[in-house]
Amino acid sequence: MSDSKEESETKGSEEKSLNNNGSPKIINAILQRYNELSENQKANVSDTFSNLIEENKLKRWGIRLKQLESDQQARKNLLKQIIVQRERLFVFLIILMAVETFVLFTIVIFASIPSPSIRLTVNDTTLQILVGATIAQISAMVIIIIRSVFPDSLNKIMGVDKSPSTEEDGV
Amino acid sequence: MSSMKEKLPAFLRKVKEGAYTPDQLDDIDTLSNKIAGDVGSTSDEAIAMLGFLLQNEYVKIEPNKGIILKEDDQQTNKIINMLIKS
Repeated sequence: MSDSKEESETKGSEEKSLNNNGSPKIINAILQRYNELSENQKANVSDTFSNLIEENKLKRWGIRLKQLESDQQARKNLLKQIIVQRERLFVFLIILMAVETFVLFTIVIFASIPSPSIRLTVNDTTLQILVGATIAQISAMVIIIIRSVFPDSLNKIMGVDKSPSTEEDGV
Repeated sequence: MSSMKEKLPAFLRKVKEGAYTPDQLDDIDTLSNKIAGDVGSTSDEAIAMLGFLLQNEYVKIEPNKGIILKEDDQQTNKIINMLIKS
């Protein structure tokens, strides 16, 4: 009898402390009211919560995807610019070498004319050097033209199998 | 406000702002009406939101602070911030 009295007193004091505290009492009340709600009402909140999380995740993925796409586009544009610059450089080199070859060839032709009145007088060593330089110049020009028209031709000839697309894809 | 999709983030924003102080926690009806007024929901929807968030430990009630976001867990924090921004 005395035990049960003590127990009820303890319970009473606990309840009182909870009441004075405020929060635990309202937590219990909220959870009790929440449990009394219909399953539909509860499901509405939990489904909305899950859907919002999923939507946000998708949004983030969408943003990331857009960033990747714009990065890829920027890379493509850069590559195009590089190709255009490379083509311009090749054209410039070819024109320069053509002019040089023309000058060298003209000198060699004038130095080789049999008639002494119009022949350009150069000694044999100079003439040999000029002929060698002309041949070298023509060879270099041919190589540059081949390289500009068929960019991978030298790699194929040398047996280097370089395929950038597979490297980029990580295959 | 029309759907729960807008009410739930709005409620979380209000909680983050500290709109529910300890003095509002004395009576559940007053509290639910306050939440309902803040987010444009019914009283039952307010209880459903608060109950769900309490049960899943996204928010907590502290005697001296009122209803606050449970920001101790990084993952929970991330989810709540994600929802608040939505």
